[in-house]
Amino acid sequence: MLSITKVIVKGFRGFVKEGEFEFTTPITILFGGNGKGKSSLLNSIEWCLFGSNCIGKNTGIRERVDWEVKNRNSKECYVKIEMEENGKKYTVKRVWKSPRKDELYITMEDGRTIDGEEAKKELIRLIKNFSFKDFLTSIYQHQEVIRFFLIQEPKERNEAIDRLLGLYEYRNIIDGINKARIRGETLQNEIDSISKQIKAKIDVWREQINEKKKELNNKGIRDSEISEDGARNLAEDIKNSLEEFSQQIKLDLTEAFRNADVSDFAKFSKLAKSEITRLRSEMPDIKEQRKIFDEISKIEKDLNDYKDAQDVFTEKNKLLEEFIQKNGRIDELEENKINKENEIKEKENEKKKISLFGSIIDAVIDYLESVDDKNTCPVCGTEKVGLFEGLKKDYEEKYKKYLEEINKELETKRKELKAIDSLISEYRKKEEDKRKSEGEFKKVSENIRNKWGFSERDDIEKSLKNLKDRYEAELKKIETKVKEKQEKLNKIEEDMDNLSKIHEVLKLESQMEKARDIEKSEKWRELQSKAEEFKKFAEKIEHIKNLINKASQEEAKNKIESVKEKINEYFTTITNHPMISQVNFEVGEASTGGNSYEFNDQNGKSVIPILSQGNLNSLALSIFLALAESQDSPFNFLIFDDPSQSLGTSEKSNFLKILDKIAENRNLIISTMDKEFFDLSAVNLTKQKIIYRFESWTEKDGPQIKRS
Amino acid sequence: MGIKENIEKHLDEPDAKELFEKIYKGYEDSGVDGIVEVLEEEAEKIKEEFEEIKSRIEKQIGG
Repeated sequence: MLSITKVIVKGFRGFVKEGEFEFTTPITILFGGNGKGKSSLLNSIEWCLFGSNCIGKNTGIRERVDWEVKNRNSKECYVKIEMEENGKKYTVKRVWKSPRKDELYITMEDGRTIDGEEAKKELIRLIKNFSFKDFLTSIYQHQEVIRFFLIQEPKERNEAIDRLLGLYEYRNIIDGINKARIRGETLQNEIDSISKQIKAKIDVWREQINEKKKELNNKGIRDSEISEDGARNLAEDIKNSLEEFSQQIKLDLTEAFRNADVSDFAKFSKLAKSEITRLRSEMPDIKEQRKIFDEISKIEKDLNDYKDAQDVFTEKNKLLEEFIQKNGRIDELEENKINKENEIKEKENEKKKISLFGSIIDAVIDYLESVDDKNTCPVCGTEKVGLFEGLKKDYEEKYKKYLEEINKELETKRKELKAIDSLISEYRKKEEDKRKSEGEFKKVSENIRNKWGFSERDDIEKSLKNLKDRYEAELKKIETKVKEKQEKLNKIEEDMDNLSKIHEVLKLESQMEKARDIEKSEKWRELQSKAEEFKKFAEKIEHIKNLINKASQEEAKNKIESVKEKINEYFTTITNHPMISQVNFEVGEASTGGNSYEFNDQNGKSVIPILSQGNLNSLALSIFLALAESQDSPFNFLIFDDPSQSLGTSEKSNFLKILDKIAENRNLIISTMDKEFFDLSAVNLTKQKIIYRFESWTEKDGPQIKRS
Repeated sequence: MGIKENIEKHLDEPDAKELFEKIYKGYEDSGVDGIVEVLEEEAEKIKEEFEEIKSRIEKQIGG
């Protein structure tokens, strides 16, 4: 039998760095809290031996769905197991490459390393074709199985027992079949739905036919006329009416319409509608009517233009008159301007004279200022005491003041002149506006006179209004004629509408007939035959499902039969239950399909209602131990992952005693987080052992382990 | 004896056996989803012909 002597693991699940573990003693205990890496080590053994077979939904282990093999903080991932059988040593190494790919290497006893398909074949030979399913049933006690066993729901427990018995694949296949949701009645339901649709359609059509017939009756069409013959006769009448009308208005019908077949409703209807539209627009009275409309529009436009030009001219004239009223006529303004200019000239001359005289005095003052003799006039030579001071005083008081007054007056007069200039400009602008608007008004008037032939003496507005009245009277006469003709065409159109309705009724009646015949047709029979075929297909699937259940039940029975005595022995030893001296394991069929398991006591009564959680775990462990013993296994070791869940102290001791006995022949790898169980193992497990303490775990380094 | 053989020994009708083989192949290839795929494909074969006839009939009803 194969025994594991060493496991080297790196980058697998909770492991980041490389860890090395020896399994050279009969018992190896992995002790530590939750999430410290114990299960990762146990899982690494599975993965190395079974690769992708131990991953995903098909394993029957819920935790394995979306399982990440490689640790995210490690660059590489591999597991190496050193094994021994009859003194021969083998090393199996599995290297992770991607989520879907790994590589297998085996180093043989002669030191040769093989890989690929050769390594896969060699591994199968080494483990004697032992499957992952067998490994789960009889080598590796999974904590998840125990957890589900402890759940009080029968469905979950049945599933856990199926897994303990290695029957999870039967469940997987049935799950897959159920998930496909093939329902035999699906297609028949669709046929029923079509049948209902047909009936509903017929009802709607019948309703529509009745409505349309009622409308036609109200328009005087009798039921007997709502027929193929009736439709043809009405189409003939329409054709004749249109011919008669076209002759009346002296227009020809198109050749296509004249030759149209009244039985071909769609074509006839299209041509007739097109003819009616054409006749409506090309009728001579309509043309005349349009012409008069155009003339009236032109008169209205001219009338508006005339009034607009007249209004503008009146307005401009009014503005000029108001200006004159306020500021005087242009000749008066121009006279004011000349007067003002003369006044300015006079003032300027006065200023010039004063300026000349002032400049002489100023020059004398300047001279006297520069000489010592300030009493002799440099112009006339007259001597006068105080001449310089006197001149200076006069210059300041009289001349300078006077000049300032003249300048002020000049400034005022210039402003007045500017204001007169501005009024003259404004006058000229207003006069120009009046002249232009008058010109425009004359031009518009001239154009209208020429256009409509009015004389110079005619009042344009009055003449235009008279002309408009004449045209409107003419229009009224034509309108009466047009109305009569339009009414005739309306009547033909009404007949067209009736014809269209008759055809709709005929079409609906034909559709209704066809729909009634569908369920008697060959196609309908084909449809039903397909629905029948589908029903048989679903029945076949159901039959297969029943047979899978039967096979699963049969295999469960065979397995239970071979181990039931052993289960009873282990269970009564571990629990020592006062009310249960014997437990019988039976299999039946669950009402929902699949296996249903029962555990009865010595009196044939179910023990489940009186079992504690610890008792239930004892039962699960008993089934596992019994199966592990009954299987012809290639491995000489058993793996227990957290086996003491909910066990009482005495149950733990009793279980450990059983394990100690098993350890006489097989190596045990026991993982636990239970301190009491761990302490009890020191007393109850008498064989040599290695203890690995999983003390802590960090994201960067993985588990921190101490060996003792 | 494996699960396949355990089930097959109960299958007496050849067409049921043939269908089971397809189901099991789907399971081997792609697990539970593989079975769904196989059965849906088989169902689709019948449904396709059904749908074709149905659509022709519906056209007739539609008028």
